[in-house]
Amino acid sequence: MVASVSCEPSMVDRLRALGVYPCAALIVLKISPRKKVWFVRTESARIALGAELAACIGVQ
Amino acid sequence: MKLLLVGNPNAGKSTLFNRLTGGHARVGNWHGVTVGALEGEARLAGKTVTVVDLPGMYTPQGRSMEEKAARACLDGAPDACVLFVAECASLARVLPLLFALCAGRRTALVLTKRRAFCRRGGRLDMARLAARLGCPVLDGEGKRRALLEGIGAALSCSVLKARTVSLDGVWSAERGEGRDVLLNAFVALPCFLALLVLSFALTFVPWGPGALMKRGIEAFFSDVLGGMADAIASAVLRAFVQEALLAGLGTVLGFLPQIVLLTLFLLLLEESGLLSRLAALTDGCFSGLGLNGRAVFSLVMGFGCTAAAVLSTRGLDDRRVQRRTILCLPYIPCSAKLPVFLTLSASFTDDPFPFVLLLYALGVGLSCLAARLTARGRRAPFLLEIAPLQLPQPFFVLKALLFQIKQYIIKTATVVLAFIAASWLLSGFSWEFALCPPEESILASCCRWLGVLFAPAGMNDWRIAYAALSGLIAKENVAGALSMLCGGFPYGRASALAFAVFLLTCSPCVSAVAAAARETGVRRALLYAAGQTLSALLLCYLTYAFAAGGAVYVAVAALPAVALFVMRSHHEKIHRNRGHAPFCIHR
Repeated sequence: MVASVSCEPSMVDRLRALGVYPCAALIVLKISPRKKVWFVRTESARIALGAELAACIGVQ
Repeated sequence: MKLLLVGNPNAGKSTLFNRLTGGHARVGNWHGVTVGALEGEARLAGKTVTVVDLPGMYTPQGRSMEEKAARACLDGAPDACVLFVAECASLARVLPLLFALCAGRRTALVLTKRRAFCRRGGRLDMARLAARLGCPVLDGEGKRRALLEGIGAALSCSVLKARTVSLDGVWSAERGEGRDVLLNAFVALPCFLALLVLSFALTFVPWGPGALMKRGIEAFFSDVLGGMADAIASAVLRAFVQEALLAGLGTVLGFLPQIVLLTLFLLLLEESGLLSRLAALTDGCFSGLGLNGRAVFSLVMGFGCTAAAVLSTRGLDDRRVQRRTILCLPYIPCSAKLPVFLTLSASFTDDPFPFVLLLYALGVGLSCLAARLTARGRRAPFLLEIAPLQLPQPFFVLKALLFQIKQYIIKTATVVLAFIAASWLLSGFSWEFALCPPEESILASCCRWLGVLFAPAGMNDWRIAYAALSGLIAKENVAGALSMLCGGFPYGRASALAFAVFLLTCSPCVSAVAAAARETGVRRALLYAAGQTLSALLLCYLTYAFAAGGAVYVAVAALPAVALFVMRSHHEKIHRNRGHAPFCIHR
């Protein structure tokens, strides 16, 4: 479950629109071999996150 | 009256636009296909309505350039009706966007991909949903007549009021999709490479369908139409038909089957959903080049048309990454360069496959090098929604292919024909307007000085230079000019390779330069074009020297450039460690 999202406001809005927001369920589907890209599934979308953006999402 | 189509990217807005207007807006199974507002007309409720297809938006404010453009278009038409297009599967997440964008406007909700949603276990009651939302809800996959009637009725509905809506009992989510093996780089990348090699093989190998169809068209032009041309009584008219139309224009049209096969590959890539996975999986590699994975969309489109690829860079969040991508795109061989490459290869081999493959690989390599040399600063964070995997729908693929064929024939019959006709006239007549050999013609006397441009590449020939420069108008002109003026390419392998490298790396056609000017400004676009043409000439000379056996001289000549690159990288690393801004060649 997402605990926090700490990045610039426009990116927070974009992530929220794709289902990444505090208390949302998040499943990590795959991490690329060099750990540069994270594939995650939210309630409504499958998204690919760069490592720097993935680091901004806190989970519990 | 205006009708705006809004919604998330890849929701089906452009597909709906094409259904309503009979248009040919580009569609594809990836997020960010539409990059600018597209207008068309539809007949709805007895009135002619202007339908506007807008780029997709995730948030009301928008983050990327295309989202902001869509928002500006919405704000600029306060009285317009809105069709909010949404996938059934993502209904729950788009409702806040629906009310944020459409509250206070006459709005209808159009739901797409309903069959796939229901097949995967999703449930939806459209009538009850309409009652809860307070606006009409239409099925985007329904019969066209019913859809038009529904939209027509929605034009006079009451405005949408903002409210909090619960979807309980009205909508339930689909089952999750099964394991997606194409998220695995060790599966997806080999799949992509295999498809690429297969498409190249089918297109270029001498016994493949592309080459066979090309030979059929050439035989039709030379044997059937050529035989008919022999019967023309007037010598001037006969010469025009044989030399300009059949030789020049016929050569360009002969490449149509191979261009269609390559376009088919690109369409299958776009429609299947593999493209968005490719973009995500290559983001790590592209970050080292100062780009991001989303640039893959533009680079792949560059194999079709550079101008369209330049426009697609609006989907990139970062302005610097956009400029860098636009700088790289001309090195990607577009489909218009294909006829030239095949004409050049025909001068020294019957099997063009290795030659063309080498050129495509070189183009991609140079594109990456251009990105690496101009990489600066931190890039925007990477975030991409992955499109669902689907079998490309034959109807859509066929419709897109037929449209491409039509566009190619129209371009050949207008731009290329006009150029070939003008070139034939100028190369067949002297200043006294008498028939003469090409060396004594108006064109020769105006262009003789151009011969020095390619003299260091073994081609001190004004016809070659004229053909090369004609590519600035349209790349197809080069093949037509070579056929008409020289009967093909009259020089050897080394010169053919050098000329191909020039065409690969020089400025793109005026359409692409104009598109770049719209995105980056006229001055920057012209600077790019001039720089690319000058560097293309230099690369042409080096290639000839290398291919003609002068590898040592090329290596010596390239040493300063390599040394500069290595020193610069080392210099930047020191500055990065100390926190200083590095020396910039390009911003």
